[in-house]
Amino acid sequence: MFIDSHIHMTSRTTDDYVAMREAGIVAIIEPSFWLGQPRTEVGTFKDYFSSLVGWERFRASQFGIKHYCTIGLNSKEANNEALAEEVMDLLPLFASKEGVVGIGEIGYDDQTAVEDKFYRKQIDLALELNLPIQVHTPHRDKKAGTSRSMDVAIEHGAQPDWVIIDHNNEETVKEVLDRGFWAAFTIYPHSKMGNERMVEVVKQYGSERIIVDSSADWGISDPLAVPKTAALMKERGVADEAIHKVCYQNALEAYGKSGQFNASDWEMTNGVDQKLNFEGNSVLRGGQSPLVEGADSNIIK
Amino acid sequence: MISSNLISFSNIKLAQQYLYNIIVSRTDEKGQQWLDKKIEQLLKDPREMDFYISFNLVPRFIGKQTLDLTDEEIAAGQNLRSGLDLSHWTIDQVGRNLILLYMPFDEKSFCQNTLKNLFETAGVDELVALYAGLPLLPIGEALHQRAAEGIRTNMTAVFDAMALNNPYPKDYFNEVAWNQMVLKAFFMERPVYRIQGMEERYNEKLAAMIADYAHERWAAGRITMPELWCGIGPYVTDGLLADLRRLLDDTDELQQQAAALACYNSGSERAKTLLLNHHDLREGIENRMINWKQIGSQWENRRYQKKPLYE
Repeated sequence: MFIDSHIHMTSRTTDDYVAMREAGIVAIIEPSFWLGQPRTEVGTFKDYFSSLVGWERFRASQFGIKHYCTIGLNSKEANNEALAEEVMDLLPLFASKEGVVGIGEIGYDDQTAVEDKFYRKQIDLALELNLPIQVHTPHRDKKAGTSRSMDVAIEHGAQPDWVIIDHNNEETVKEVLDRGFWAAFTIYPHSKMGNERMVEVVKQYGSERIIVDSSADWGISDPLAVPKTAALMKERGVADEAIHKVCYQNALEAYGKSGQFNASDWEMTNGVDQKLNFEGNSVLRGGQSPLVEGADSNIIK
Repeated sequence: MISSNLISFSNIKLAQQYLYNIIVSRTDEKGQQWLDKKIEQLLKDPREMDFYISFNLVPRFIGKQTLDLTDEEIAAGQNLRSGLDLSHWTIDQVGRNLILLYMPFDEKSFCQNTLKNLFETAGVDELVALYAGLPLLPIGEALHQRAAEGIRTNMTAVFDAMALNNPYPKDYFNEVAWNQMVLKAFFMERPVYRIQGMEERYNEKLAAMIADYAHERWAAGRITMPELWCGIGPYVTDGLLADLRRLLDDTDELQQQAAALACYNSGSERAKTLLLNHHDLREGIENRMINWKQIGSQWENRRYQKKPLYE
């Protein structure tokens, strides 16, 4: 069983969902992000957020995967200050919904003053709503940006164990762990982290507070990064218990602090309770396994 | 077409009480305290933001379990508003709708705006609660366009909330919306026997659409649901006789039973004549062993057990 705690499914196909389920992914978290180009209207943010709690959640359920999300204004789009103010007004409407497991992904991109302003405001919102914070660390000037993300979180009174610092690498991990934050690693081709390097990180730093994710999105990326990395870890002698922690349990504990992320959610729908659900009729609600024609052949009937 | 006993400004308190009682007999003290506090707050100072947040928070405090209503509770729902049927609801749906029933309904723009925002920002389960709850709202009739959106969705649970066990469509949908709903229910392979008013709202146009749909399916080598013929009886045309004759000899007994019911209820003498060779089926219909509910639930069971649909 795996959790991918960072993946942008709105950009992925149903083939990905099928492959993810077959590879053992039972639950995913979709952080709010940008769409590859900046939005220009607040209404498109509203529809995006509502698709994260609506259509995408339904789509995932058809493949036996429980879909959760984090809600937030990403750092790139924070730079449009007027629009960002309007988006801030929307966030409380969505952040208190069921299945919203944190405020995210927020943080710095260019590390501008405006990015800083909205990062701080959203930390305050997370504290007010008692939600974990999912932090995107910048691609450029990464090491300083990561330290600064943690400094600001502390300054606003966030507890380190309520903050997941994502997109770590060999250069950032030590400080993140030393300061008591969760350290997430994104296995993403050509940038961020590779799975062989990830194995070495786990060998060196152990499995405490380390989380592996894919951040698969609209770019060349891999929705199976978590199970593949787990397989590689096993092949290279990492203990099963450690693999379980970094590819499942730690994400569950970190985001579980929201009260909205419980293993019983997916154990219920995939296990013995199906009969119960049927009588309560939820097997017909949210679509269990749909009748996928031709699932066992290449011929479309 | 509008049934008596709708929720109105005069019996809204009864509706509130009905939902409240269902919840408190099934939730713990913490859930009840939260609910009481919210209601008090909404009564004293109904602000839009409070409706949004309370609506969102319902499952955290009172859970999501199924209701297993007692016979008395089911009957009380029927007395409150004809056709009201909460038997497939979960407790969070009841809670969310209770919150909505404290909107200041005499302030029209407040209610319209609040509902618009709730619908436009809703998650899957929230949409389910909103659509299933439409028959409870005293301003429900004004929301028929919104209701039709519930039929356009591709989220099965949301479609079900609007179409199944819900008196709203039969009371308020015009013929175009009604026909789309029924046809879409067949497309999505939903348990059509749970649509209220199938027979009374049947119409000639629907009969033609259903017949075309069946031929399209068969041309593609696909089966059709036996419930496809529910309600078509009075509208059976001679053009459909060959199809019904074939279905009466089908290898699947549910298909046979459905075709027999259509013939039996038909105004066409020729259709009734088809039944002469099917004594057992005729007898089953007359002693009520064969009926749409039984056909529909057996079909649904087959789906659930993942047996081949066509036996």
